[in-house]
Amino acid sequence: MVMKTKTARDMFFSTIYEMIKNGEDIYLVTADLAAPSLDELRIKYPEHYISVGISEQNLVAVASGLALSGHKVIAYGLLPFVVTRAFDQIRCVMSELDIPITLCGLNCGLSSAEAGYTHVSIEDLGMLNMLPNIQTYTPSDISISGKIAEETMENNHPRVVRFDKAVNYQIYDETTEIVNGFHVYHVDNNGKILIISSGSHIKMLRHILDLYHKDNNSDLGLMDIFRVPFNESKFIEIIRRYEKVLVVEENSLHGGLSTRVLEILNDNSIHMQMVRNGIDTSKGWFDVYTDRQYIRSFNRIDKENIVMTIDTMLRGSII
Amino acid sequence: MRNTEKFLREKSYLYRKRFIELFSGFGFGHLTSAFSWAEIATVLYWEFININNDNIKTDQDKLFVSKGHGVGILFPVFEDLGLITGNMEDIVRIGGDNTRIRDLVYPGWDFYGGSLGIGLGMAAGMAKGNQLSGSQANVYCIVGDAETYEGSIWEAINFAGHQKLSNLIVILDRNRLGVTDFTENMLKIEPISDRWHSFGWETKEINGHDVKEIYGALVECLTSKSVKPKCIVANTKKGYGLDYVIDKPLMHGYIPKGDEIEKALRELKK
Repeated sequence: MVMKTKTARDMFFSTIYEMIKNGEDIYLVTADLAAPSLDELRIKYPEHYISVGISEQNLVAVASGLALSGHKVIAYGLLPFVVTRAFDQIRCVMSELDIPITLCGLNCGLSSAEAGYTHVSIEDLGMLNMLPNIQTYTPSDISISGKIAEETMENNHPRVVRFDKAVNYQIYDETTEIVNGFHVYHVDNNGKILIISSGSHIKMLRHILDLYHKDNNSDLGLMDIFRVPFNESKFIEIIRRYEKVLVVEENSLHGGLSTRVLEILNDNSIHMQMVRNGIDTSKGWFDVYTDRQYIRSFNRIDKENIVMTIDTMLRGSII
Repeated sequence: MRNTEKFLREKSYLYRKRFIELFSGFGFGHLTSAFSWAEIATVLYWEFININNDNIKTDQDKLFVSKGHGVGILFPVFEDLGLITGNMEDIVRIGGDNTRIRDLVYPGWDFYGGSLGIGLGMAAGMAKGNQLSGSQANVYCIVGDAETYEGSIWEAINFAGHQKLSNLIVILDRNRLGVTDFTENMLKIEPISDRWHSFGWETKEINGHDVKEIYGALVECLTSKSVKPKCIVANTKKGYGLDYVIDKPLMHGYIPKGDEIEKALRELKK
């Protein structure tokens, strides 16, 4: 069934709205950030919609207190601020006290790159990866987003959900399980390159893989990691089927998804060539106005560069 | 009052004494910040917050210690109330089990540190949650005066005032000292009552070491018909009870060691 809802964020909040309509004890706390999918909630269930104004630290603190009083809580604000600005609250309260709130952030990765570095959310995944108890989601389609929302009432640990405004389509169907934290595509028993990625890259990468497979090249597999931490033993089982791995991400290379993969490979003595294409900020940010496409191209995570990287890896050349 | 003033004053003295015994052995402790609110803690737990081993998790009044470094004074209180049992010296040591204190102290941080500026927002969130579920439980929160330098405190104050959290009672430990200097030398926070008032709070100033005034102010808060959250500005002295540390900057992390322990116990004022 194809869903009518527009974006991953709206799918999430639509699902929450239906749950509140059905009497679930869920409250939304927002840092002055709205959404079309929240308009009806504001009007019909105003007591379930609590605004703290633009105050991300207070957002996490109030949401945590609300959860401690026994309610299910969704907190919502803009990335990167809900993580960077409120990191102390996330660290000392959400993570350390294991408080089961769902912190939703809009505009992960390069979603708002045209607004400049301050609005680019590329370090948050790495920051959150360092904290215990927290599960971080980056949904790659609207159905995953809906499933994350459905889990809210059973959720007993803190979660952060990173929405990309470019994710406004459905890739998976309703039978897709999210329990392992990733989904695989064109994964066989042995292949050459496993591509690992997340979020808005997945749709593009699936298309690339389809083209390779159409050319009878089945050496490529794709892993969509939509939750960190994910099921590591299942991850290892799959990655061992491949000779090489390519990680493509809209996160900083220092601490992002590829860092997590490196840690697992190292800790499990898995030796394989790994290429990491992500955002390299080692020389600082840009001196020109940028947008998503510009930054992707610069960091070799646009379609053209990804295909070049894959071809180079398939040829066995050094990147 | 359920207990006499004399009883409560003596308890405050005993809690300070026990604090010195426990934390001087541990080697860490924010004595001055703990001593400044000893009377407040005593009145709260002996007159208002009815906590026992059966109702810790259930719907009842909670105290958030936002100025987390001052939480040490609660260890002797909880020991006296039978909420922490066993050998305290075995608990308050490196390697000692801190899980019990996490159950008793909100927001549940592991020890006397905490991160400033967070507890009040959580207390406001809980107060809001209690209102939404129709609970009659009140939320108390102890906030340090220097802690109000943290911007997140004002975010919480603004929220609580706007939300009319009448079930939220803050006791501001107005000891006028930060870590390195007096508050009014570093960054003025007076007129502090007016500032809270302008954010939609009811405020009242008291002598924070007078058990009768503390009790009276809390009763006033609880019987008030106002929908506003309440802030009791408790004028205190950091290190109260030990003259040689009162009103001295840079004594924030002070704990007696060696020969000082005897001196502290000897000079501790009843």
